[in-house]
Amino acid sequence: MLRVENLSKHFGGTQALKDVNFEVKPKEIIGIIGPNGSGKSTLLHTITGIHKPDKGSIWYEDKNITSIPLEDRARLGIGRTFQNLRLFKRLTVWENMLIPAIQLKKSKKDMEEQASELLNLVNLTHLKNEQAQNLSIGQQRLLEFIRAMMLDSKIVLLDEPTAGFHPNMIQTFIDTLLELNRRGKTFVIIEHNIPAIMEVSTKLIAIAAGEVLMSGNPEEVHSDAKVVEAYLG
Amino acid sequence: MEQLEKRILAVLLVVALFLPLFVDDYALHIVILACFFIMMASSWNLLAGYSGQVSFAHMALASSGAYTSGLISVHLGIHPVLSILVGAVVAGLVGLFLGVLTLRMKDSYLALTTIAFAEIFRLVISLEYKVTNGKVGLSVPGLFGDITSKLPYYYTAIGLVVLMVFFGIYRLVYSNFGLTVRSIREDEIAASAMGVKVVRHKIIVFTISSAMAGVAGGFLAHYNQLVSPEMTTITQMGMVISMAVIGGLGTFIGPIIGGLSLEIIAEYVKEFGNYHLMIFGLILILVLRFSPQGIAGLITKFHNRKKKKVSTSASTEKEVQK
Repeated sequence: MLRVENLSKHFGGTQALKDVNFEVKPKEIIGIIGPNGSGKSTLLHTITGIHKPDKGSIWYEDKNITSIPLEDRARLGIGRTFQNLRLFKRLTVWENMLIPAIQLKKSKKDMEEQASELLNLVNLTHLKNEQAQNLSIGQQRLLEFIRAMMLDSKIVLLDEPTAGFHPNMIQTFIDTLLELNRRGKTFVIIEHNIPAIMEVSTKLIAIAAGEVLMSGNPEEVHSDAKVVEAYLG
Repeated sequence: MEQLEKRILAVLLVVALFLPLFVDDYALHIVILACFFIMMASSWNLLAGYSGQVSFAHMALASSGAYTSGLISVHLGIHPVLSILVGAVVAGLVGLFLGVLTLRMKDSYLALTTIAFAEIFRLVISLEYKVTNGKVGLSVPGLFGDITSKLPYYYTAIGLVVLMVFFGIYRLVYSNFGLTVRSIREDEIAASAMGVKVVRHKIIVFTISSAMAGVAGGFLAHYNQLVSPEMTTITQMGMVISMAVIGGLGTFIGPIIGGLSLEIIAEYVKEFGNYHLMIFGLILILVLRFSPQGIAGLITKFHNRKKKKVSTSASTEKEVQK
């Protein structure tokens, strides 16, 4: 579904990504872990088109998308959230939900039904007329997550989706994620919350200093000596 | 649009309908000038308030519409109604050209480039005598002929033009297109990540607001029966920005309140010459300090507070009755 080949990116003298390779298959939930500054967010930015890679290519459903713009990648079905929340803060929750659907020229009925269903799924229906900036951080993260689903994304890349969550809310997020995965959605998740990522991932990729240290079964990666040394301590 | 904004608009419309019955010609003249500034501030607000693009070329674009309309009505003998429309199209095209060139730039780069464009435009029309008659300005035919005897006609005409511009802005802002544009104002990267074609939307808004400025400029030219480089000065542009910001950026009624109140204040303080700009500056600082959302924001705040008070006292009363 999504394939990253020899992806490299540097900023000045810093090598943010170095020959990164991995593949995501449909309906997988890939967890990406790594210490701060290891290149996880850069990887997501490069896959979605915010950064141009210095080298390598990105393939989505057998199409080379390396040089197509961010908005076109989104329209193809690659959704994402951001480490630093990027909601349309002065717009209402409802308006935030409609914007991606409008770009896909969905009918009013379809977009409203979809938005209502997703809001219901994360228990935000009662806040639909509230400005996004008035929501708690956890609610904003949930909104950003379901907003990405309004693009009918086949794959969604989530950058630290549970950061700032109240512990109760983490379960809401996990339940929603697993429900959407059951419906056929694929996810790539960057997360520091190890118990949460271990619970949902079908595969784990550990990154350090811009390189893939190890990838595979979550339990194996989690207990690998190199990964423990680099990240888990 | 909020209910409160609708109510204020309705009141203003009723006042505007009956105004000529109660005021003298000079006051009507001031209101006509205010209508020009309201159109300018509203169309600039569409650009800056709703899509987040700060341009300093808006008066230059109005001027391009005014000169186009003036020149073709003088040289081709076309009626001003038609020439104003042609002027609007030309202003829109100039806006489109400028937009394509500049709208990939951000913030201060866009501002500086549009200032440069406005200054180049002003210098060209000031120094060119054969076509635009330089600093003296170009005499153009009036929309209805003599101003003094036909003032009510001009008032009615600008009233209709203002309503059309408002209708256009309303339809645009409260459509799916408008919602998309507001998302760009909030966060361009997030908008792109949601599939929004950011540059295309910005260019469309720039073109539409330029055409609206062109209509306003064309009307003013055929009202004053003169179009001069004075329209394009940075001072005039500052007036338009002040009106939109003081009134309330990103609100529908803000530029109307700002345009009307500042034009009226300008009349009272004009005897101080250029010092009146200091007064505008002072008002701007005070508004930005105490109500960054402008007068419209202040009105909404008071209205919401009052509404909250009423609902609280109503619920207390109910509890007491229980």
